[in-house]
Amino acid sequence: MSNDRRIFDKQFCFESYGVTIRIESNRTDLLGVAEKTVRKALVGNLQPIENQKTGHVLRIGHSRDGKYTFRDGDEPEFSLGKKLKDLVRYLNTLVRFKIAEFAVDRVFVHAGVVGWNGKAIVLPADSYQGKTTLTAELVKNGATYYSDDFAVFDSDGMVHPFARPLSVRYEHLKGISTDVHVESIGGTAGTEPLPVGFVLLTKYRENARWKPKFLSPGEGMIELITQTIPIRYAPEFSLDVLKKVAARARIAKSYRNDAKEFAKKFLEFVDTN
Amino acid sequence: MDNTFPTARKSGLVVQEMPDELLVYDTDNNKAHCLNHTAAFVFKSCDGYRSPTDIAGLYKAESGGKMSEDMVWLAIDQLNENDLLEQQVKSAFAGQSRREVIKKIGFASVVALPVIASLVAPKNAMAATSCACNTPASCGNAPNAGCPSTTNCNAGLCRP
Repeated sequence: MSNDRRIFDKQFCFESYGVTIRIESNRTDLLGVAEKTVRKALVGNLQPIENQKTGHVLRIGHSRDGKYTFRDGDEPEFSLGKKLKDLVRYLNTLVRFKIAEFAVDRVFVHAGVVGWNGKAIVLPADSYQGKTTLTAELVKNGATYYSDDFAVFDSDGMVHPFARPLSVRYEHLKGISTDVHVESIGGTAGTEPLPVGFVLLTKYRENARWKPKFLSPGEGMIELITQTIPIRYAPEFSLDVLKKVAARARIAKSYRNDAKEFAKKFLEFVDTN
Repeated sequence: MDNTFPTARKSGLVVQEMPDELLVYDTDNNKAHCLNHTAAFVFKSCDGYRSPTDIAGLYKAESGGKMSEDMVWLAIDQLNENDLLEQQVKSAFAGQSRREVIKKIGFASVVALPVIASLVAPKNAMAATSCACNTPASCGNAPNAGCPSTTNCNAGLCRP
């Protein structure tokens, strides 16, 4: 028989990009932290809804031994330890990816995005490949900030802003990320959807030479698929949208050197190619 | 239908036609394949009723171009390797290396060699894109750590 006497009767329900989520907690203050976390994670793109049946249920608890617990739907509950920041970080990531995977009428691709001369430059990449660093440098060189996290495509292949604060990792902080608001680096955030003009597949390598190989639309699509969050859940819709993106955009692949040196030259390259 | 003639898979595949390519996403193993013009033509022509000779003839009839039977077999081999056929088909090049085959074909045809480029879609969206941990020791505050959790990291998955 379970010794858990916690009652998870505190709830916050919301809808974001067509995905409905209920967060339950046994503590009011914890629920408040959760609500603040998801609002920040989703850049405010959520609407509270009345307590109702939702597509996803997340249960966040605090146990008598001081540990924070988490449960996603019917999966087993697990402990996140005693540090609230660990819970906050975990919830932030989980909610973003849950929305990204199940969003209705949107395809989320893990990528940095900037606007340049009326079109979007999309930088799909795994984490730790310098995506945010390059995005920030492009913004410092005049591009408009759209996201350092997701390219959010609609059914026409237009990319919408997901302009959260840039999540910058500094070496002196041992790789822990810090929020950097785009205004603090002299940039502005985009507000309107843009067609994609250029997709750059790149990663940092010391002393790398810029030698772009232009990919065919099909080759570009399979590269994009590796960063397409809903590809397993909604393959037909995802591919339909990616096809539209690949048909319009130039897609190139190359290593790059330091982002500060690379950014300006890359924007000049985009202008002439 | 002749069981020895290749048949392209239909079930479990999501196919997107492009002007000169075919994008095939295999939902059974979550692999994406980009077939160039030649590979795409052979794939679409593999209906279980056509021999490789028939497919080569069909290409000539439809485009006026010349595709050798060896070229067709090379494409069929690649479709086989990538699990894009209903049933495995015995290779016509047993005993020959791929290089030998390509060298032989290359001089006999002006059609591009069949190419299938493939990549695997990430297993777990969150793990693939947010967790750089290979061991639990890499979690949390370690340099280049990616797991939001410092206490629950399991071989690269940000979950226990």
